[in-house]
Amino acid sequence: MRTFLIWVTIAIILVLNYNIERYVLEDIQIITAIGYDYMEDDTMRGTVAAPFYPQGQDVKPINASFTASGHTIHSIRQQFQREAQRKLASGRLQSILVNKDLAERGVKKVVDSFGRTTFIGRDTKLAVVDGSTKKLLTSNYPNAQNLSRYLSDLLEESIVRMAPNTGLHSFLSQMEGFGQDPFLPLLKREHDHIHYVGLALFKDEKYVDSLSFREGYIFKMLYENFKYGIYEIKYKDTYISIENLRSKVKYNISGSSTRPVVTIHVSLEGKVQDAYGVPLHTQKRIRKVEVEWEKETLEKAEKLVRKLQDIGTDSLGIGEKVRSHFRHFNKSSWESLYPDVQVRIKIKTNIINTGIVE
Amino acid sequence: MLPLPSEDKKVSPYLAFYIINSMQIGIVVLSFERFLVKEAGQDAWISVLIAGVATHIILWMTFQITIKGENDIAVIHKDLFGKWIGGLLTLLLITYLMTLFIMIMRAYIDVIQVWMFPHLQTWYMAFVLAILVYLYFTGGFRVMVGLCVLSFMLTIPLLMLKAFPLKSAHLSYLLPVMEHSPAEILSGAKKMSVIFSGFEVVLFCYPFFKQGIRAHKWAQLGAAFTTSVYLAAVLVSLLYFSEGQLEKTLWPTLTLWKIVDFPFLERFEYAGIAIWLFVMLPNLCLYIWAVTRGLKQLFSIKQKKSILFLLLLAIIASSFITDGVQIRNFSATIDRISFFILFAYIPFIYLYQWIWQKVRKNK
Amino acid sequence: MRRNKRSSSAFHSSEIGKLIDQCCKSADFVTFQLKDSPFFISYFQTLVDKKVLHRDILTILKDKQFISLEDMKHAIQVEDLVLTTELSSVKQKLMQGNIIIYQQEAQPSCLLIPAFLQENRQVSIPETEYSVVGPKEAFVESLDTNINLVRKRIPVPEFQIKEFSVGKLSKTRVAVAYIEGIADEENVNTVIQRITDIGYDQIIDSSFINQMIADNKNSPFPQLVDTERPDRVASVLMEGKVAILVDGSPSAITGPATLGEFFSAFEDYVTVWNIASAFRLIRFLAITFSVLSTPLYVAVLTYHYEMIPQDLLTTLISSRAGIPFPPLLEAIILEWTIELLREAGARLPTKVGQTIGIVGGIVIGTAAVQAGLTSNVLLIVVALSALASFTTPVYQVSNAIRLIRFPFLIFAQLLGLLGVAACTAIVVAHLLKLKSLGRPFLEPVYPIRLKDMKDALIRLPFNQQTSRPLQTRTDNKIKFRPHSSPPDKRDIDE
Repeated sequence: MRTFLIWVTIAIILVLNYNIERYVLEDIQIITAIGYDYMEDDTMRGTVAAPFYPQGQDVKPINASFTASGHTIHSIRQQFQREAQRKLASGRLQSILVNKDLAERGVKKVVDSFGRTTFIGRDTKLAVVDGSTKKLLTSNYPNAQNLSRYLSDLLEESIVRMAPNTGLHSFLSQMEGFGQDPFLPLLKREHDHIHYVGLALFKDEKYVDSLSFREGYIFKMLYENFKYGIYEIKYKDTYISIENLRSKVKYNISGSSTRPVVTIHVSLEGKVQDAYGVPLHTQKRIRKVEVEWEKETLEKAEKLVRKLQDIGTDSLGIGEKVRSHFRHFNKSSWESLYPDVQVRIKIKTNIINTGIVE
Repeated sequence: MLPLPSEDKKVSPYLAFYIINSMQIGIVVLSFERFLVKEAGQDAWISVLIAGVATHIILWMTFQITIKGENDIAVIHKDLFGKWIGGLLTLLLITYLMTLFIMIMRAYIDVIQVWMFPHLQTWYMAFVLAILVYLYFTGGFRVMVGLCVLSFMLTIPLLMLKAFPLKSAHLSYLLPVMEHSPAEILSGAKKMSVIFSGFEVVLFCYPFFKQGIRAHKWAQLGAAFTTSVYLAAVLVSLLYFSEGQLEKTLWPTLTLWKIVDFPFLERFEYAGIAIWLFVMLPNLCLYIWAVTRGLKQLFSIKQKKSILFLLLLAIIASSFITDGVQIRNFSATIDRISFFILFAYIPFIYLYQWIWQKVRKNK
Repeated sequence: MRRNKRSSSAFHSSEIGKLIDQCCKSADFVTFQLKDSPFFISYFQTLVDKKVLHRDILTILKDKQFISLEDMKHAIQVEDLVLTTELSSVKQKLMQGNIIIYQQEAQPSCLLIPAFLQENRQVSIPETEYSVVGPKEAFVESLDTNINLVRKRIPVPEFQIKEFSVGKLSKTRVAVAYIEGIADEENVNTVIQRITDIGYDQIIDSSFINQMIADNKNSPFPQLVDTERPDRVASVLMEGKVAILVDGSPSAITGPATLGEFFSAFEDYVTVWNIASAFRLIRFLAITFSVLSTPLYVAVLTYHYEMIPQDLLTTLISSRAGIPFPPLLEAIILEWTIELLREAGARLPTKVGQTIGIVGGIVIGTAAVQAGLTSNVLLIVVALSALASFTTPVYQVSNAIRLIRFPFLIFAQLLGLLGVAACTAIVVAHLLKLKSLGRPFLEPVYPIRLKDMKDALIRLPFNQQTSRPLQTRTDNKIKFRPHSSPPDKRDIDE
């Protein structure tokens, strides 16, 4: 009996004293996308998309968004709550957008805040927007019922085929790590659609330049192994498009730690998709296309690397690779060394098949 | 001095594997990389290996002390140093273990407060943990060892989650090997060896092994397994985080769990922290068990009585530590004491006992 | 005549006489004097087989004149005749359906003729432990029949039965069965000791014994296996366990048991080992699912919405938008409804029970969802977890499984996932402390006995099952020595 009473007391203590904040699924409004625009000086304007589910059975969400401005991420968040009908919860945040003007002035205060809080997932997508994020997040899109779903699908499923995979983790890791600079997809609202424009290049935390959609694709080729997408090459007076089946990249470092030489080996395997007017029935002709493909790609790649070196952003992470090659590498001199580092690119192409017709 | 435990209270020697393993793996696994990387950078994994080897030696000494003394440390102290000084040493040792108990309890609550429930009061969670510890404690040593075994089985699948971050691993983060000087690597190892502590409990639970000498082999295996777990953890963190990032990350393992992505479950850290309860419980139980054993040896206080007092003390003490900085300072202090206990005190007792026995034999 | 009267009054003051007088107050007690002889016959007509009385007793007594009971004993062709003057044995035998013949005298000696009327149910198909293939005999309410069912499966003299009479009023026959030389003496002695210590007045069923001799009487988990299958009993006896059979109960108890044993069906042994192992694992998974699914639902929906993947989140929100209750209340209401259906179904005859099941399952379920009282996701979860809880082959444990879900729900509400973990820790503590006849209940998981794993979570093929479980502490560990054949060295197609 005594033990029983003791346990009852304990149970009562436990039940009466718990005060953990609850996030009951239907009583919260889940923020799925958030955008920040530059206003003036230290002020930012934040816009959140938080779909609202009305009462009822099998309801469809209503696009709801709130806008507020302030100095820090969290003070802005509190402002949103002034308008929202339910408790805003950011745990399922899918995409974070930053306006280009803000990105030029540095995104650290945005990203650091998201990297610090425990609620945000590590694979949350980041993107830079050309234009106002408010406009992008509050417009209606005819091809999607749910805006935030459209945005996150675009960033997660679609762009990965053309641009290297990015996210909160990779951004933080590139920003904090030595010898690499972050990059993000650049989006724009155009013709009632969200449009992937290219890659936004950062130097540390600041936006410096962008790559076009095609350059971005070459960048991806130099950056990681992958297997999607189309290469279009000009062959004689027609155009041939080759589907990328397998693309592999390997970095070789040689030279000395003060004069490193970087060689990038890329091997491409492809399948001819469009080849109107080009007969491709002999090994020799195919070989010719391969050579042309190699030449054009090499040209583009060299131009791209040159551009990166000129603007001084090491988005490919060459610095990290050089550091890992030389023991006791002098990290402080890298900054000045980078623009003049010799980068050689070797490309090997291979057309595996030409479809089911000659 | 207590009589040796009866045969039905003893456990088989192979269970030493689980005891050592679950005592060594605790709350620090979630956060140890940071200290290590600050010292040894990408060579941190070498520090782990060195510390692992050092642990094996100290563990060997620990077992030698108890095998020669054929009883727990309280009795050995008394034999070696007499009633008063020996008693004082035992008292200091159990005070240390009690502080460890409070520290890891508070550290776990801190993880919960930071990651899951910022509003959770410290005393509330400490109370819940105390109840759980009490439930296992009343089952006796055998039940606590059973908890070690079950927690080992429950938490071993967590190791598989390390596969997720490997998808975005950068091999170059590990290179070049031996970039850091041996001194830096050794100072990393020093940090690490503290993390391997926990096997001091053997000093108290040795009499509870059937054939204690055979238990030694299993204990060494357990320690080796722990080293491999830490090694895996540190390697994955090094591969996933860039160095600058890892130095700033307080709980790398939990951050890694964030990217675990099952079709039915994301953000594994919440589940992970909950499952981590099963890693914490054997730690908490055996530490406080060792303390109550010590108190019983010294003052003949019944374990049934002393446990209630100690748990109450732990709840009160842990609610006085209020913020993260305090916890980190506290744990840094404990780390220094741990290092002293492991690498000064245990070798000292070992040598002293060795000489003492030689002298006695010559008489 | 006078002498008669005197002896008659002396008889009525004797102890046996008093017993007869006491019994005469009952309407079904018959006493009459044989014609032309000094002998009286008494019996309970409700307990006595009329056939035996008329054919074997009355005809003989009519034909001949006997002088003494001793003569009579030799003439009557019924086994187990006892001639005694002892009150206690007369009392006991009378209650067990014996006919007594005696003279009305001061020191009466009685001839006890067993003529018990067996009202027996036929041996029929097992209902709670039904299996599609394999033997289809189940225990009935008669102890002798039950022992017969077991003994015919173990035709060795080492198979022994120790019988006890338990219960101050019910005087139930309780038999402890074991195989000498295989079963551990200590286990047998523990069982016998605990049975003889029972002081309760009535033992109606074997489950009474089960609860009374359990190591922890407050545990929701049964610590001894309760089975209605004689084949199962025989098989565990041959592993070295002890069985307890109770007269009047169609189920036997076997022990020492382990938690794993409650999840092993006899069917596991009649199907191929890999299929059987797969089913056993499915059963374990089902139980885990059954206990944890609703608490996890409550925990995740109340505290950890971040853990739900995006696609699932949309489904969950749109099914939950507009539900007036918090997840905990919703879950408790639904769980309670399912328990209600089960209770109602169990109390009603099979046909009606089925109807209730359909009405409850389909009508209430759909209506509740359409009325917006519960979400259809939870309805699926609860229904599945209820279904999963019925996969346990031993009925008693499925009750435990369904009961422990409720504390889990409360903990999930208090501390979210951490609460679920804490409650699991409590259950694990309880299981670790549990013992079955003094042997660890969680074996072979703790203490780890790899040898016993061959028939725990999985069942290995028969040629691997060479030893008896270590759990039983048997001295005779070897089941059989496998026939080792030399490896086939021929190549393919040779």
